[in-house]
Amino acid sequence: MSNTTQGDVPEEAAQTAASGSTDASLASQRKSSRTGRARTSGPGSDGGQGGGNHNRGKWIAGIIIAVVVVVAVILGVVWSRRTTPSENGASGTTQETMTVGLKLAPTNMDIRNQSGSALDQVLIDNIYEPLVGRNAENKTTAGLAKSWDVSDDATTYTFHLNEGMTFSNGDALDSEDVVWSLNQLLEKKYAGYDLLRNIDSIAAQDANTVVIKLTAPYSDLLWSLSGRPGLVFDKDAQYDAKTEAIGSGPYLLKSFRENDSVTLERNENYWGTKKATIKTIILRYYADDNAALNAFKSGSIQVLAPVMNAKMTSSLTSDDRFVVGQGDGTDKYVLGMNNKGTVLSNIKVRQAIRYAINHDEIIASRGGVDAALGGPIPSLDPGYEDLTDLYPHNVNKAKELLKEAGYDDDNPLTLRLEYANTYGTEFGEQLKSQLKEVGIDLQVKVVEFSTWLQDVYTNHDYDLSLVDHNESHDFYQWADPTYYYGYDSKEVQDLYAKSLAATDESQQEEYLKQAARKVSEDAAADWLLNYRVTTAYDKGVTGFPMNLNQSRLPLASVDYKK
Amino acid sequence: MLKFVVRRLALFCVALIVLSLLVFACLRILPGNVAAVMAGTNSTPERIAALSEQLGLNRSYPAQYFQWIGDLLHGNLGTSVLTGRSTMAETWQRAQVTLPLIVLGLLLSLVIGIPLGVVASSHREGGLHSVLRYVSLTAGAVPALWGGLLLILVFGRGVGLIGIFPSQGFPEDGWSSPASALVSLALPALSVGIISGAQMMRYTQSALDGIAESGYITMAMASGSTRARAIRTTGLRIVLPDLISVTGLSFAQMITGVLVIENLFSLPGLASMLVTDVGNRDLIKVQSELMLLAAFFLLIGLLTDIAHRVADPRMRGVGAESVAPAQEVSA
Repeated sequence: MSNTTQGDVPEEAAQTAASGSTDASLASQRKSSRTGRARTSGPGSDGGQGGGNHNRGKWIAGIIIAVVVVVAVILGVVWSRRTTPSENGASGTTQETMTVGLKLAPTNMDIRNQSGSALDQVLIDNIYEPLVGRNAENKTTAGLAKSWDVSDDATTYTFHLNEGMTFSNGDALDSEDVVWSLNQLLEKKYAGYDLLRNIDSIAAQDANTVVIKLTAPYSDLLWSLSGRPGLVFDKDAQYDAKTEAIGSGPYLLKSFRENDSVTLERNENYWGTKKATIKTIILRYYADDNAALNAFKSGSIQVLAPVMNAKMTSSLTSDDRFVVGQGDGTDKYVLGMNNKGTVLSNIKVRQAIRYAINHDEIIASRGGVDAALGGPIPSLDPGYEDLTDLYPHNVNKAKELLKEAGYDDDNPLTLRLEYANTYGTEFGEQLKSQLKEVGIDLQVKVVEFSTWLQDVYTNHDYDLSLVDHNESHDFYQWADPTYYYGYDSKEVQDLYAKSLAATDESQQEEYLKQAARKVSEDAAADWLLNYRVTTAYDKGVTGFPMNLNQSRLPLASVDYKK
Repeated sequence: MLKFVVRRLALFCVALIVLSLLVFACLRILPGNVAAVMAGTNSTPERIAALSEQLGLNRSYPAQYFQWIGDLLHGNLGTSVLTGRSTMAETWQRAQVTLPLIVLGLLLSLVIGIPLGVVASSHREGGLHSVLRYVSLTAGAVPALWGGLLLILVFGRGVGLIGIFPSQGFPEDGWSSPASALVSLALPALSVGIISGAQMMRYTQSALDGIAESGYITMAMASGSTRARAIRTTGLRIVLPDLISVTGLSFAQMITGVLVIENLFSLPGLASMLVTDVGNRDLIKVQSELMLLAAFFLLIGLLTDIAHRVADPRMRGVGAESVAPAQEVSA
């Protein structure tokens, strides 16, 4: 503590700092003076510097141990990962849990109010069941009603319900619930109410029979009842429809985390003969495509639908742990044209655009799995006909038509394309370069979906627009002049009305075919492609629906063995 | 000190009021509304009109603003139009992912940044110094997205070379299974921590370098320290208040910075919630969320300033507006 000790040190300390070496005698000297200096140099001055070889030895030992531990962990993990695949046989026991990776997440569970196919995908067939069923070919089958009779004039439908049906809360499901659900839909104008047309009355004849009377034939009635409008809800149940769901299906809604996941659990008291195979199915939503792919490859999800692009698909097909396949769907990538717009009201310009677009190139750039589509009706819907030869890719013809419309190099045509960012930027870039070849300057604006809804869908302030219209049986868009396409053709409206009034199926299809051809000939829009969903799943998964699985995903018979 | 805290609290309230106006106005400029989003592309205009009426979107802006502020003052953050859940509950649920992620990232960045900064500053010349300089420059310049992808490629379970950490999602049951929750945050926190750690290291180093030339270090060395030791003990103690400020700032920065990371690792956090809600035009919910976040930012700022003053005895008794720079003391 004497000043002399402290006064002696500096030169030596400076030397130490400069040379960077530690001197044992200096260290001991310092230790002797520590008690006095501790206060000035503050806490934390202990440890560190002191001790030469002994401490160094400890350090080296420590480092060696750490390295050994890390290497052991790595080896262990690598080894355990190697061994797991070999245990994966094709046959095994059904797993308790399976996780499915999806893309578009529902914002809530309120299927009567909230739009979007993501809700149909989760809820219909799994939790809620429709009066009429629908199969993988998009045709109606038995549902809650095991059969039905249609009167000769097609205005009276008599539905015979299954017996002994129950909701998941134990309530019986009978004709009263059916009648109540349908009447509520019409009264409260829930989503899809407009799909039930010409309804005169809906009544229960007895506990297992429901009679729907129409004012005039409506050929899409059965099909409509196989979707949202036909869902049957429990009249007596009280629950928050945004977060809960009480239905009659083979699964229960165990939990819902918006934009993240939905957990389904087997309904042990399901009324049907065949209960769900897997006990718990988790549907997990991935906003990021790479994240989804990583999750799938790492085995944290067993199914990925959709696999978003060609590159991802090819990285999975080469891996023998997985099965990759494509299914058909009703997704129509429609290049909407503002038929009432100043420029595009001219059919020649619309035709020129259709000739200018190279569909094969667009489809090829996406991996070549999508189908070409030449008109408003896709192959899974009634009235389909291959119309792709109406407007084959032809640059010269496009230029000619533009010239006739008064546009050429001196007076080039500028058009705006506005679409939602969910479809990516590639479409815009491709269309821009393809239309440039015929002398159209395309200004592409990619916006949020809600902005698109405002600009294009509501205000009709656009030239061109791109939307994936994924709904089935949606031809009504072309028969409604107030829809955002602004397409107004008396002939098409009449044909559509006739198709709805048709009393037999072939007649209905014939009228739709004619109407679709007319729409396509008029170049009311261009159909870039019919999206086909690519699904990848673990080898142990069986029975996963491939067709239409983005709007309808019945999971009860899916199995996952390991 | 008390005066300082009161002053800062008053500022805090003024800032919040201004923010609420700004947030409200900015969100109203966005095109589109939640009724249209809810109704979708198959809806009739009548249905959209009915929904707008039902959701109260037709009221005047001042009416909407005052109703919202009134609810806020009563501690009611409102419920989401789309999900039907209370904003508070949803934000809290999301915060349970984001806040631990930020805290972990911050801890990592401190653990990485401060020791390396000290080492770099103690070795003024030679190989180690320049190696560390390049490491910090490189790591600091890496975009978070790319860094995260690299980490997945190396450590991601099932995809990486050494697949030991999950690269996707957060456990279903959240923190009730703490181990798996923590593990699922490992890679995201690393991506955040390494990058901000590099910045922290550069900051520590340059702060210490500044101090190294001052009398403090000379004084410490005069009292028997080696230079390295003087920097580690005396130097670090002196720059501590500055480091606290920087830490507070990077905490605030991270709240916005983890957006990319949350998306990449598909974590159900605050940032991804905000983006979705804005996209859906669930405006009342977005407003309340932004106010919560803003209040949180301001609170962090306040706490940082207080911690700063506690850590630096020279600041005591100095007014809030005149923050004195570290005074030079010569030996």
